[in-house]
Amino acid sequence: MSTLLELERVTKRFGGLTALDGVSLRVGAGEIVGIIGPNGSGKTTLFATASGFLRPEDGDIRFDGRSIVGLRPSRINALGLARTFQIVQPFAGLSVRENVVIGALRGGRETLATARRIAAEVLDLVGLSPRAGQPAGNLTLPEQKRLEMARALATQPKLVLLDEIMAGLRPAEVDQAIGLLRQIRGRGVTLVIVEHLVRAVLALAERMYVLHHGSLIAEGRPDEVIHQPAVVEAYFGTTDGSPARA
Amino acid sequence: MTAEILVQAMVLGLLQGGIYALVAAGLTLIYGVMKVVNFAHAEFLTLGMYLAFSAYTLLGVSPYLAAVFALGLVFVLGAAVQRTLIRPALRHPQINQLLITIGLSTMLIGAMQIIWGPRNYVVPLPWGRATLGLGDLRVTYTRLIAFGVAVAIAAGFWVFLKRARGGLAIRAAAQSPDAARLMGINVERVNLVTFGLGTGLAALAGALIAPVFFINPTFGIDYFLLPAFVIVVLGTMGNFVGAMVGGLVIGLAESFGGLLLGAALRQFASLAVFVLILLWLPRGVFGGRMT
Repeated sequence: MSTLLELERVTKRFGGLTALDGVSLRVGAGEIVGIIGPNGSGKTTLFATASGFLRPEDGDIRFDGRSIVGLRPSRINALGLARTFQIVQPFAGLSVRENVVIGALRGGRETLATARRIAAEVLDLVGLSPRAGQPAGNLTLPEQKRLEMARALATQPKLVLLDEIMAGLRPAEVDQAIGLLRQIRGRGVTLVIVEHLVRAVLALAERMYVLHHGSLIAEGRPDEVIHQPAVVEAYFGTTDGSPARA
Repeated sequence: MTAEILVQAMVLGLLQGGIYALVAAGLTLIYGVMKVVNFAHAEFLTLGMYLAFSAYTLLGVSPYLAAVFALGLVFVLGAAVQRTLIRPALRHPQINQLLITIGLSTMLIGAMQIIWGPRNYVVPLPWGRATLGLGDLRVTYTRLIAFGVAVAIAAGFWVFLKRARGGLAIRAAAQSPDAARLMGINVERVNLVTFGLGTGLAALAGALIAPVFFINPTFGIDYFLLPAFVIVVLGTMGNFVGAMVGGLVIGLAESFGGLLLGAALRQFASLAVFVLILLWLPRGVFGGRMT
């Protein structure tokens, strides 16, 4: 399997705080890779750095065979790397359809007619077609999460970084989302999911990384990784029976 | 007070309001996209007036043809200003941006004073005082043309924002710059173009009204800055349609205010509207942002 995204000893500091400490990982084309970790472990920073919103102090990030460190987010998106936000950021005053059309325009590289066609397809896929004419600000939270997905997909990415798209969803909605992500992968899109909800990651990911205090502490198949002592400790405190830290 | 006078006041108010709308549209667009309040906006209008004046007196070019060149020229100037003065300040507190645009306003007034001098000029169109009469109603053609073109341009620009790819990019960047970046939109370029367009529209409006008013370096800041801000707040900061409607409302308010209170107090009515809005509808009449 060819490598699509590769991080090599990526370090990101905010003042004295090291948010990412020499993180190396690779994502193969067509994979679903999960990244889990407790609050503040650096998951969102990892995505922000990979998508060009933050510039790492050290290390290299390669996407589709070329280094993308220092490129603008819009440029990185144009190369085929899309991302959703943990805190949804719809263009609230614009209609749901316009939101997705803007993604499908790919910064002006598609015609409006093509963009409209792609947008209609993607809205169908995520089940938002009935809401297409509504202002995006009127959507419920689960719908806004699907809109984030739709916008990202409309840019015709090779890989999507999905930041906590299950958070705040009810169990039935989580199952729906899992089904949707499988469908998207079925179309040849590589997915990297950051998720608090370990159940969703276990159901989807073929490989998994665990972040803790900005460092990777485990990687491998989900069912193996989840039982490693370092992972259990990161989530629940020490394994010798002393009380867990919140 | 007769009905004819009221009708006359209404027509003049609407004609003035159309120009206000075009000027305020640029101001609200710049605010909507960059969240920068451009205190130098009126100077671009004055510059458009001078460009039309010089084009007419030096080259014999019609002010209406000059309006097109004023738009183009000031678009480039505005874009250059954005790149050199505004963009570096976007990361800094709003007070810095405020001081920069106020300084820019002073500099532009000074520059125009150096180039054209402090005296009043008129564009001596041979038919500049010709009027269209409808019963007792008399309106100069120059005002009618200025209004018609301003409203047409503003409407065309609205269609551009709604329908064109560039318009969608501008609206997306206004709503959420980060999300727009993720959609492959070069937000820095959108900012540059928006500032150029906003100031260019002000210059276009200036050229259109050059045959109507006396031209001097502080014309814009004296007569257009305050109404433009009132309109932008009235129509909700960043809302394009709000600026259109607000322009007409303030044009009417000033006209009737002048009629009731005397010309010297004509801005009293629009400022009263402004204060009432700030007290009761601080987010403007149109609520949400740039629709």
